[in-house]
Amino acid sequence: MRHSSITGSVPALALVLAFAAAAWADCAPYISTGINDPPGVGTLIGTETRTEVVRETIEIVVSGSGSGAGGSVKRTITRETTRSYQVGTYLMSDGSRVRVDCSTYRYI
Amino acid sequence: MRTRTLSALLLLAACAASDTEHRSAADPPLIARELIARRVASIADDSFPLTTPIRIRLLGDTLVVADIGDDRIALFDRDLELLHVFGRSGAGPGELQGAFELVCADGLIAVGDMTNQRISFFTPDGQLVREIRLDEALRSFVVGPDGSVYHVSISGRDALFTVIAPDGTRRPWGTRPPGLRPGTDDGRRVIEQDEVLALRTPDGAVHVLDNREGVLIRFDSAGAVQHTVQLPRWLLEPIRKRHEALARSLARQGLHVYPGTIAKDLSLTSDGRLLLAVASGDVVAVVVDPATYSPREIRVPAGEGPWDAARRAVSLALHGDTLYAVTTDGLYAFVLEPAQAG
Repeated sequence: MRHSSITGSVPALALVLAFAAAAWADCAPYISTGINDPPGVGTLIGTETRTEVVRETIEIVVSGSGSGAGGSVKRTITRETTRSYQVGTYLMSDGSRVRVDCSTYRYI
Repeated sequence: MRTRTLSALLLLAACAASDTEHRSAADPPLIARELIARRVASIADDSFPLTTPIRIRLLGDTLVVADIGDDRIALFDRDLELLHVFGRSGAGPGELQGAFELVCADGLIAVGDMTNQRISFFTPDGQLVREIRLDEALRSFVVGPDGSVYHVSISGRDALFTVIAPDGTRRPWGTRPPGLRPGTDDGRRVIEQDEVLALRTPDGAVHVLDNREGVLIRFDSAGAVQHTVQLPRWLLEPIRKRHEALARSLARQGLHVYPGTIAKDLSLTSDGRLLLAVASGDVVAVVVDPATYSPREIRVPAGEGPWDAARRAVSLALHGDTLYAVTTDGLYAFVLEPAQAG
């Protein structure tokens, strides 16, 4: 399998409280259209690994304290998550090439 | 995608492009009907020693084929007789891991290596001359008159190419057209493989195909955009519809397919014109004049026949009036003839 890598970054997701999760998935050696579609079979000829840094900013409010002082304090926490996924290049039976996101990459 | 399309349109307007929507009466289509030679894969012998050919190029009268499956380069004469094979898998000097791009320049064969992320220059008999590290994923490239590699930059904002001189120094080159700029402020979007195809003609001009929008862009030797033309709609629409149907089919299998590209390949003909390998109905290729960008299509007859090899070619080469098509199962030569009127 042909393999190379690319790095990039995703912009800050301000005030997004949902954390993202990603799973690594290797590209399948072959892909195929369904039986009800014109036959098309693709053979994996190369992959590229994409690495993304997702910055998540979380705002939290801390109320009161053990020392007896009142009020609340806002805190902003930035978390960086690195995730990788693969993009596969497939050579189709008609001579064309398609690129497929091979990951199960989705926000949850 | 909408922003990208708009940018492409603005580029076209700014450069006063002349979309050659009409078909020139002076240049009737060429027909690839007659198969004059073929060399097909066989279990019995090694007459076609390639498993996954990906590019075919001309080196004078020699056909050079890159095999991404076995990391080999095969040379054939114009009668499709095998002349020589070289290359082996690996990461060492002269070894290949994913021979995806192929450029013949100044008597040398330059192989773009996907996994090793480098361009290796070989003599026709397979001797390694030099290697250039890319330090980024392989994209299309051309070789300049001084041996510099003009490599399409995978990301960046202003320059479309990175020029890597033989001594390893690098500089940006070529105005990046609006349609090929990153779509986000952080520059996240990258130029995908096959999204930009480039070649250099003997007059020194560098030609770029924005392979998503179907826009040809000519750069002068200083890197300024000289001329842009969008390929005719009659050519683009069947390709887009076919890709949309394929993407829908694969989506039903749970796969996410990236936007499709127009041309399978872009190469130089023996007389210095551009050859776009496509699959647009019965049109298998378009020959483009490098000065005017006027297209002339190469068709195959309707229905099934030996010319099907041209339809499913992964790459094409044109020498004189002979069209060479390489597929995963063989190498084919067709003589071209002008289409009869009517």
